[in-house]
Amino acid sequence: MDAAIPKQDAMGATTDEALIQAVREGDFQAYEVLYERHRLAVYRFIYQMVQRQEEAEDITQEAFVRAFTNLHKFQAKARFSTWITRIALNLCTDRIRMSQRRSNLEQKEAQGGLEWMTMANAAPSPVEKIEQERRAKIVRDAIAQLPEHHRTAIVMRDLEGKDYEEIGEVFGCSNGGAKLRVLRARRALRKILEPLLEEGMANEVSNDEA
Amino acid sequence: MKRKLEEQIIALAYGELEGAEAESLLEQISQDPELRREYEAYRKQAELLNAVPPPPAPSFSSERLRDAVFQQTIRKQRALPALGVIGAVAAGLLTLVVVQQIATSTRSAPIADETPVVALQDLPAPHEWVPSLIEDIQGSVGSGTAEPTVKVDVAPPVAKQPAPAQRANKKRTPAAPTRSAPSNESAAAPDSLNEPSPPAEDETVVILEDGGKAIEMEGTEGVAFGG
Repeated sequence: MDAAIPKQDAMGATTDEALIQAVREGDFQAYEVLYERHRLAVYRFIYQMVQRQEEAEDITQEAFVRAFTNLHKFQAKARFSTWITRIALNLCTDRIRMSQRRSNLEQKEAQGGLEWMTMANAAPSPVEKIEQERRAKIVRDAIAQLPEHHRTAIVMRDLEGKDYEEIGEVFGCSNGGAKLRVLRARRALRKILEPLLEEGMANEVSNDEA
Repeated sequence: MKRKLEEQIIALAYGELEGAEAESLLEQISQDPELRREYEAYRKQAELLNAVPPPPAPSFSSERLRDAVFQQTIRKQRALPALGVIGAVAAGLLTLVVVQQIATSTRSAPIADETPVVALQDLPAPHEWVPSLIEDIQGSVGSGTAEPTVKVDVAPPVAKQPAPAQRANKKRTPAAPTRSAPSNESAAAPDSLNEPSPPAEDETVVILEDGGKAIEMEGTEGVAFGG
């Protein structure tokens, strides 16, 4: 059994499978390696789903705690990255549903408290920066209005750049099924985004005229 | 617009279509204003999604994760003994109920201190001789005799007639003999239970004022009351 698990990948790093085996044998440091390897990707996905940094950090940690406590259920035929993404998706879904139950006032307050960050390595002018932030906000608002399954598809494919195979694994469907889900999500996003963009353009024109 | 064509336009706008297929579609789009509008809309959408800034840098630490995992483990460990206690209490209650059921089914009447003790071996079943004993007692009480006597018609083969002291006791507690542990007396002289023994020579039967009967034994201070 142990011999079947590849210990190192092509780059000489310990494989996820070998680390998982070590964790199962009681080596928590091996789990810390897994955590450091995958936490950023998981966090990015979660952040795009919930759009709040603190919440995204909390969910990321919770996802890894759950993965650790359920590691005995993990099957080697799946990738750890896919498995942890599915756990994260479930947690995000719970959070999104909870937040949808809140009152509109609470939602507005929460959205008002969002901090939109800029790209650290780019150095746009202040005007360009404001424009970037405005567009980013429009897109995020549009994504936030999507049903959860469309949002997941857009985040995984168009924001996180995951391939269709991994998306299919997360959704539990084939490559073709994943492509179809992404296609439908893009159509749905367009229906929401176009009016917002037109509204944004109209506001821009009126501001310029003033 | 056909769905297949729309799918291809979306794929082209998102950069997922390449080669001859992409060139052919671009040629088709350039000649059709409606297709061009569709393509531009999705291309703009793809650009906007690409321009969404990455999430802010998170503040993670392995120590924080370790603490969280530790807390989770502690919570689980605390939950396990609680389940054990609940199980033990349930098992105890169940045992108590079972013991009570057994005690209720084996005891037909309350045990009195003076309940006569009989040998357990070779006795017929109580339902064979107890009802007639009760009838006799009821008959005697109903006749209003001052000094009721007990007549056992169907005596157990081994305990045919109790000793006088035991007979007196039976009148007070006409229930079936119990299976309580034999006293020292019965253990010391088991034959006295099997043979009806008339008052010994050193015993004197005394008739009490209330109709009771006592047996005095010379050389002893013990007096057994009955009736």
